[in-house]
Amino acid sequence: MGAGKSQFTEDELQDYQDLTYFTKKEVLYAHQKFKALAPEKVGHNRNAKLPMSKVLQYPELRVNPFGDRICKVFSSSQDGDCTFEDFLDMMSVFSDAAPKAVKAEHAFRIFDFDGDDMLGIGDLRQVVDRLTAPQRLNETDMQQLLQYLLDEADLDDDGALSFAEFEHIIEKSSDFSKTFRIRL
Amino acid sequence: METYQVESSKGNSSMEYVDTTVSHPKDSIRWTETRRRKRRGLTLQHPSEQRLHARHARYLPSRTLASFNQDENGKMHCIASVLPYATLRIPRTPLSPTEEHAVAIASQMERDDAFMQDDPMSELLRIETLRDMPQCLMVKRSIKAKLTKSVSQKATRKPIGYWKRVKYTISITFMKISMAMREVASTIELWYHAIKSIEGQFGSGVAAYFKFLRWLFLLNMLCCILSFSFIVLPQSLNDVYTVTEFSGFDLLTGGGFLTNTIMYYGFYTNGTVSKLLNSTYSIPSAYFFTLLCCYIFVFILLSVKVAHSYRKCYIETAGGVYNLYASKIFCGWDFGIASMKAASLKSASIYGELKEFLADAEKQSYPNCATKYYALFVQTSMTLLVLAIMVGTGVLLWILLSRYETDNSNALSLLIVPLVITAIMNLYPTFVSWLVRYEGYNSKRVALYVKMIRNSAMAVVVVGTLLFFWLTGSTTGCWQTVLAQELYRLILMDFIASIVGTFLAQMIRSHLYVLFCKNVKAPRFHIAQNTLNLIYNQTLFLVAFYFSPPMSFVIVIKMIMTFYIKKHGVLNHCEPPSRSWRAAQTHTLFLALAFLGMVGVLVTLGYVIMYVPISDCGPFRGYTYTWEVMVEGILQLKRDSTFWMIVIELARPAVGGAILIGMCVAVYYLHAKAEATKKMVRILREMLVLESHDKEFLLKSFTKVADEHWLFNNSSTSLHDSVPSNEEEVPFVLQSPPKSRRTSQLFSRTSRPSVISTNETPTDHLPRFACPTNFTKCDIELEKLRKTSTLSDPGLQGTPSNSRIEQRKTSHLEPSTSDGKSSMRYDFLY
Repeated sequence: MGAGKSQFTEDELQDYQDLTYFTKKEVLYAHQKFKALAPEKVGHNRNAKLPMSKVLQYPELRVNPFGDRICKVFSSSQDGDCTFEDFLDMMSVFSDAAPKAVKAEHAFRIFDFDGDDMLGIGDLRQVVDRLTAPQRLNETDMQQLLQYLLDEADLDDDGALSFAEFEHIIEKSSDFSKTFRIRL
Repeated sequence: METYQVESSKGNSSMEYVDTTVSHPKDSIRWTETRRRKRRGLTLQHPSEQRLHARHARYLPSRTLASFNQDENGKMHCIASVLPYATLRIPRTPLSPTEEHAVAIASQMERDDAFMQDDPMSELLRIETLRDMPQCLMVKRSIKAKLTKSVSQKATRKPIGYWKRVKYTISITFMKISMAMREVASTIELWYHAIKSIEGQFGSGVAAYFKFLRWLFLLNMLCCILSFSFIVLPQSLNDVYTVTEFSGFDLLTGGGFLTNTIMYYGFYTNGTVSKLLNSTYSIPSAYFFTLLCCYIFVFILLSVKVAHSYRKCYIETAGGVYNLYASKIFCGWDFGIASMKAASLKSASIYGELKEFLADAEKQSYPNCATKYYALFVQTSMTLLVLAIMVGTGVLLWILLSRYETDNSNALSLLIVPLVITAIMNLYPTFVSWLVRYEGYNSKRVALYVKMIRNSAMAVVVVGTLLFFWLTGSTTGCWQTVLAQELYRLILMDFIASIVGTFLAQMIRSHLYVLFCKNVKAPRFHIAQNTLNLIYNQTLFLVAFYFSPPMSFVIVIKMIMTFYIKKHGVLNHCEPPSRSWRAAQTHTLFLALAFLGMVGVLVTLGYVIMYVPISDCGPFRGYTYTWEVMVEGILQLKRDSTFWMIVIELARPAVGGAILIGMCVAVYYLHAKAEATKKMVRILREMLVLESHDKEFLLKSFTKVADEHWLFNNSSTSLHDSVPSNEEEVPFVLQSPPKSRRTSQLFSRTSRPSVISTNETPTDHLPRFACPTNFTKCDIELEKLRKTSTLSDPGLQGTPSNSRIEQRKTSHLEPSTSDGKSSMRYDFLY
């Protein structure tokens, strides 16, 4: 971990420690991981912007059906390209220490494909399709499933899940913080 | 409330309105058909409607800013008040770069005094708020810099009182220490990479087993250190070894050479050690108190963990509803998975389970009476069979014990009982899971619980019989040592059978799988069985620890080996599980079982201390009962002292009865409270629906007015050309006002015009009813939900009417936190 230290000043590390859920050591470790994605580029400029395809090389993101969405949500330029700070942000939200509310917020954005601040039918459909990836539920099953889902979760009965409704589900789910997690 | 329900049931049949807006082609589900079946009987809404409004809403200030606005009205300074609404969306226009956004948030935060004090607490608050803010790091950093700058400029430096300074110093030191601890902990986290690679390839379920193993290992490590430094080391200074011949076989049986060593209870002296610095060290006191500390420590840690886990997954998440589909879809993916194979298996398992849910939902609606009774009959008879087997095992053990334990001549006869027990403990779970498969339980989870309960009941029977035999049957000789030897053999046999044996079986099976791909299934890691084995093991250790302090060393070694063997087995021979594992709830059940085992052990040891006479060996010889060591030997109390009188008074039945009655009353009270809360949740849920309809209406009228205004402006400047091109943007200009029954009724009741302008708030005419109740967390959540969905929606920000609603709401709904409970009050009209 010592090698990365020269790339950050103490103040920067303190800032990162204050603003993320990581300790300084973990920040440096995260930087190592980030560097491993593109050693040359990051070695040259520690905050280099990596294209989404490079970031998706990260093992957990590579196999994740929502990998591209995660990159887009955390990318500060909103096109999926990530700087180290974006990456650190991502890992911090996915860490154990992040509270459920913060995780829920980002999960909501990940699932909100069309970016309209609601999980509409189209969003939910896409979520299910991506989850079951190679296979697809047939149309009747899908409709049935979405119907049941909205019956459960759509409290105000408007046919879409707002953030508050989504957060409500997440708060009631004991498994969420165990599964919505990537260990550094 | 009755009026409400009647209305809503009427509304179902008569008031459906067909939306004329064109929905997104993807969403072309026949909602009018499916929605009709909804149990709550609500008016129909088109799904895409909200989105139309949301489009307008997107250009209004974001939700976080809304929450800061709220801060100005109410005095909500805690972070929690910021958090629930903390969702932030950077407007996706090229016009507002992140910097501008940061400026906006910073200026909002600057208005709040709580953030802007120049003292450590305020700084802490600032940092925590920023950390929890869902923003990208760049924005956060620039906000932080701005705030720091303006704080140093603006803040009035008040002189801090002495107590406050002390408080700050303490809290900051505490924080620094905890940060340093975290840093250290993250550096030396045990088996970090091993567990991570397991998690990446096998998901969080299997990783949870290894984490549990690690936790128990650390716990036992602590016991080991304590017992070695306070009992074993002092005793070993007092060298009184009698040399007998050592053979390797003794390691297996725990007898022979080992019998008269420091390993067992019988060897410890009842005198004092005075080798060091002329001070005396009383072995009996050390023995008793060290073990007492260890047990109390383990007990507290375990109960805290159980309580924490229980609260997390049963209390905090309880709310009357069980979100089966929602949690499967939104929490289904295990983000920790890192291997292609595991990922594709996970996808397949989610697909399979969704299919299964759907099939079950179809099936469950028509329960067949005959099959139900048949299933019940099968289940009962199987349970009886299992009970019979358990009783049979108990009897068999008893017979074996009374036949073989009395003669110590033959080493093989020593091994018979442990061999039989280990065989039972390893074969029985397979038998049970085979039985459960034919019992036809409705859900997999019930089946799993039944399996686990049966397995742990068997463990209880086995250990119970063993202890019962030794505590009642033979109190002659040094029975403590013999019992400890028996437990040692059990622990060792268990290691050989279930760790090494399972490993070999997995290896052979995986090789067979590679050779004959079709016929043999690849071995899988059985989380439940392995965890139960771990708990059984821990219980054995906790019993044995009292009679043999160095047993902690044995168990620590065993756990290290278990970890590496299992890890190797899992990574090299096993397939990832094809079914998803409900980690949180099952984990709680495991912890609860471990806790029950612990309680059982403590009760047994309490019995040993109170009622079992001491034989003439070990550190406590010379007393009749063990408790006398503490009471007479150490506390120097005599029978007629005041302390003794108080203890006797407390032990009277009347006191016990009073405590029992008190507890019953408390339970009744809490139960009643829970019922009331449940009712309240239902009411709030219904209100939520109503409020959302009001919101819909408000939004619609707001949009309408805005669009009319826009149209008017446009038509005055350029008459024709802009209207058709913007038709997509304003598709509801020509819509009729909503015919939602409730809203129209509302307005007819209060004789308002059906078209309202934005500065009249229809919420003022909302139905009112009074419900002063004590709220629990659940309600507050719902309340929050309701508030968020109706009030802090971005679409409403900035309208004059909205701030009025907000003011009203916050004044009514402000939880009075003074008494710790939040009793809220609604004023409703009827």
